[in-house]
Amino acid sequence: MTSFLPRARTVPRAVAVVLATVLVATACSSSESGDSSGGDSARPAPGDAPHGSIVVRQYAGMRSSDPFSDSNTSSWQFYRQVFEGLVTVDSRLEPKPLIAESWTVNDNATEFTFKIREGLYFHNDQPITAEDVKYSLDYFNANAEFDNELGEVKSVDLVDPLTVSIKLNEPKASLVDDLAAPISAVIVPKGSADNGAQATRPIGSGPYKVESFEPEVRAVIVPFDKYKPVDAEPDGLSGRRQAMLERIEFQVVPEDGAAAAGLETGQFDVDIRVAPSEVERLDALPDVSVLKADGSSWVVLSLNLASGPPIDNLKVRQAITYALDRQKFLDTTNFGYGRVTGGYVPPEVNWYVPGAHDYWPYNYDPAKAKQTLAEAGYHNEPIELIAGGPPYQGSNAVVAEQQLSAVGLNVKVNKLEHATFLSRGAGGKYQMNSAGGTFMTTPDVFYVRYYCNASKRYGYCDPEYDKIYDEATATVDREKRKALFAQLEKKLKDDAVILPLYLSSTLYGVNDRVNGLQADTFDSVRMWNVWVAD
Amino acid sequence: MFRYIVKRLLHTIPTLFLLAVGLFILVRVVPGDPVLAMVGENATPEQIEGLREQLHLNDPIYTQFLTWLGDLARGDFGNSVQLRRPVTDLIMPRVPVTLTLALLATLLTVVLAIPAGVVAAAHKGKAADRVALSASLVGVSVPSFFVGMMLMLVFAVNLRWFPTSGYRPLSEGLWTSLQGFVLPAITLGALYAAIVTRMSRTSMLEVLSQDYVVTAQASGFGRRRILYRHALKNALIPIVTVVGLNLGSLLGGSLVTERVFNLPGLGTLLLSSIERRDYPVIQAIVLLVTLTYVVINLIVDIVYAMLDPRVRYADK
Repeated sequence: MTSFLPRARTVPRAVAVVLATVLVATACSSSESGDSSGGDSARPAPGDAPHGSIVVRQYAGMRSSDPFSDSNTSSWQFYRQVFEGLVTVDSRLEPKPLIAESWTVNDNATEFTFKIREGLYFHNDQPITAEDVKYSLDYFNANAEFDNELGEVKSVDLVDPLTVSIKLNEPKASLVDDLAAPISAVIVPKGSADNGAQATRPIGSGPYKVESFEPEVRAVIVPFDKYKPVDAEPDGLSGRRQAMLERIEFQVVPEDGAAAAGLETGQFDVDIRVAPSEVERLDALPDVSVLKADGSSWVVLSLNLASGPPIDNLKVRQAITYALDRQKFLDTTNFGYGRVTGGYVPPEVNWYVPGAHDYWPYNYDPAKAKQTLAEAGYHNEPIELIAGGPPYQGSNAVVAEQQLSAVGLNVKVNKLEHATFLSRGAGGKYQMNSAGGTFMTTPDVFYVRYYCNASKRYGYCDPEYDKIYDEATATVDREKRKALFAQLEKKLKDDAVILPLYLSSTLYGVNDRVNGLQADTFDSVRMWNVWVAD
Repeated sequence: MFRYIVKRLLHTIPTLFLLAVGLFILVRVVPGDPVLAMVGENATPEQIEGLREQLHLNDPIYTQFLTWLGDLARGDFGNSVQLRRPVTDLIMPRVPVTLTLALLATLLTVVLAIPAGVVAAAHKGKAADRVALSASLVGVSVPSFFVGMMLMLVFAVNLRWFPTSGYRPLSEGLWTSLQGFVLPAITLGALYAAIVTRMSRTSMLEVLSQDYVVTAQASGFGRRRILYRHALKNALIPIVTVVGLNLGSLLGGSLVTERVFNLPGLGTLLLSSIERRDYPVIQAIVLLVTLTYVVINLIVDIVYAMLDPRVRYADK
């Protein structure tokens, strides 16, 4: 569920706060929320011709137009407009129909059957059939750029021209959720991705199609007139999708300063990632607003338990958690745009379990940190904290160094170049790192990381944990699976394995001529149902 | 002269070969892995290994090198690891951007800095000299990202004379395209203009103190004639070297400017390729820039001969 605070420049602050509260409240009770501006009167009706054009600032990515080659959030803000999967998610991350109109799952979560909607076409005017779906899933599965999303696939079988079934070797109850995630397998015409051909000739089935694509520079998309939307009210990424603009240009602009300047001069109509430092300035401009939504982008410090002393000592880890003043991280590095929560999973999703996901037994308490450290028998062993991702991660590392040193931990920050940082993380050659990402599917994505020997990254190994995890993976019933997830969550926290700092807000900059854009909790940009007033 | 040029060009082959070997090894010695820049955090070791296999990153390094060298001999730079496109396709559209930027910046340097240096030398110790020296000191000292941001703030955001960033191809009109280059060219040119101003001033002062200038003055030639016809021509030799070599470094060194103004040139491509360890792209760009250096060096040597009749290259 998204909410946003409209710009309140001319309104006194107190009134603005009241208005904002009311707006948040109403936003929470309606399925449509966080529209950029303008009333619904000007909103194009279904069937109205697309009109006008906008320029969108893209902050990174777009190396290729091949959606199988890139799993970066930034690139997917673009792919999502062009490519569609079997299923998608609503505003609470519940799977909803897209190319598939319905699906069934067998009792032990090893066989999934999808019925494809009739009368759908690809951008090359070819109808969508079960063969294309099989091809796309097989292709996706053979590609390593994505996390192991489909699990151990035994086979993808054609049942009839509009039905496919996915058979797995091992249970994976979250398969439909993973296929529905805002970054996942998309359906393309049979053969169209061979040898990376989508990189030069992208063919999807979404409401917009690619007109031109220059890697890492720009892309232009235009409406696809054979698109047949789902007949349901829009909610999150689900429901009716309508191309209301004649042309959308995505421009890759890595520099936040240049992006803000472009938004100010009207060179860009939309900025899909406003830097927290620019929000105040942009909000003060007469024709620009910053849409804000409580986000699901998690910002954390990670620990590698396999790195030996002192991180393998529970007491030391607990001391670390007591020493961290998480609100300070949020205020310092993210200018307060975000929220301090109990963990990675945002309250907006149905997977959130009160009592587990907001369970946090380590509130900031430096005295207790020192005491726990003394009990731990810590002898000033050095701890290296590595950072090398986006700038905020570097800042967080510095804040952490300061806070941890204050209780007597011997922490040194080592800022690394990005590629070096990645390989040290993947190889488990670190003790502590500063990291972040966006929550977009079921909590599995986190829990699998702590499965024994899942990777070299976290070094957590607990037979009991693995047992609960295995059970959750095979449990189709969502409520039961939720309860098992809650156990995993509590376990990780009791063992002081995860160090969540905050969930940062989704911040989109938008020119007032653009209507219908929604700042989304899961930071999944959608350009359908967006129109311009002029 | 012709034989000299051919000989010089042949000499570049071992230079480039040694560079190719060094480069090939160096990019691989640096920690980091192109595959890790592609996969998600939950990718299994088997997936990572599979992708490495698929991209031939597991082949012995000499096999990889020989394959690359063989392709190179045929003018094929290979394929980008992550962009899944031929490197040539990635580089070609970016060459005009960087070239335009470098040439405009050089033009700015020549048009502004050389006259400024000459005037400063002619009025040594006077107001004009002090202004030129102070201005060039600022040019040398202020980092280009700051100059870029300030120019953007004043001329793009406040005055709205130019776009804040981005590149418009020539097909959208000459002026539209050039507009986007004005601020970056000034940013990039500022540093080199400053260097060339100081260089021109020093060179001119040296020439002006020589006997033949004194003789010319004694003969009653006009000040302007002495300055521009007699002195400048001789003072130009070191200046030409600096301007020429600058052009080379402008081609390779416009990283910061391209990034600030978001120009899709070779600099931004090189930067993003280094970040994701896209070996073939890094190798191709560095080789290209080196080749440009070599060629510009040769041109500079030829221009020497045109400027100074005493410089002659033996045809042996």
